[in-house]
Amino acid sequence: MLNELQKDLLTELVNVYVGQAANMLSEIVDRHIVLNIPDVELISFSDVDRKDRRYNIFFNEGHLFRSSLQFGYEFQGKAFLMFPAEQAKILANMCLGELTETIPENFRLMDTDLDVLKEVSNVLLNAIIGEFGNFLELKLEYVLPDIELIHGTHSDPEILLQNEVYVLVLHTSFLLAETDVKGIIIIALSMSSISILLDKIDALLGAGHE
Amino acid sequence: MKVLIVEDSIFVQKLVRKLIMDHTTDCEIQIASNGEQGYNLYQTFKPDLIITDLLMPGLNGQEMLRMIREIDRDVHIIILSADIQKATREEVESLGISGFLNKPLTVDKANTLVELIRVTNHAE
Repeated sequence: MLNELQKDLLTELVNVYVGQAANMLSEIVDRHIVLNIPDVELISFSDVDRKDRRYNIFFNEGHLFRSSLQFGYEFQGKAFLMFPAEQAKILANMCLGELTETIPENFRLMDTDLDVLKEVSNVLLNAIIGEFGNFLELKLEYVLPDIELIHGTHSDPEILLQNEVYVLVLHTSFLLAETDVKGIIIIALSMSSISILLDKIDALLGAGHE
Repeated sequence: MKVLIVEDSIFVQKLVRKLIMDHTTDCEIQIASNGEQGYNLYQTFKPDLIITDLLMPGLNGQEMLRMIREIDRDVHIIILSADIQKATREEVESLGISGFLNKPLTVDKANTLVELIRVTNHAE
């Protein structure tokens, strides 16, 4: 789907955008955050290899916290941020200034936690999607972010994961000082949006060679 | 001074309310969770300053701002939003605002917000 140069530039852009989002998260929890983006892929979900360990967060058993932000109209899609529920709880605790880095087995995500996680997700996803809007010089309209607790085994068919839908997968790993809070960011794009993005990338690559 | 906070996150509502209470005296605060509530409270509460989010359920902050500006060019409005798009900022700036701050509300941004509130208060 992406040639080597397109992937290189897209990875670079996303690195910057996610870096800014990580900086915001660092400011919220007041801790240093190391953010790795091992890979950026533009794939059809039907191509996902379920044995690929990087997609474990989709297919593993267990509860996930999932936040989504829908955007449109010229550049249209939906961005998702997902954490295992236990790590979402740790993140919420940190945002609320609680220093607990381990949580009991029978923990529950309370309304306060969900409110905080919704706000944090909103800031992070806006930081990334908003920069795509700036990059494309398009005004993106957002639909209100949505949060859900879903069960891992039921997550895959729900996540816009029909065939023919392409997803920009950013494999991110948020590392909050001494606490391994890991999440994944997925951006699902319509075909026309992918064309807009690739046209802009190609234009930039072309300009770079002139 | 009367301040109206329009924000759907309870977490941010509390944060902004505490910030104002800690740094100002004689301040009356009311809170709305979306643009529609915000507009209704604006009409009854008659605030000197509105601090509003943009993306909210129902009527959003930008629409609320537009409706208020149709009848009132004077009330001070500060935007506190996660939307980092230049186009969004330009649109709301064209409607007349006293400040635009991007979330999250860090210490530096909180100081800026307090300063904006002080300037607004002295302008009354």
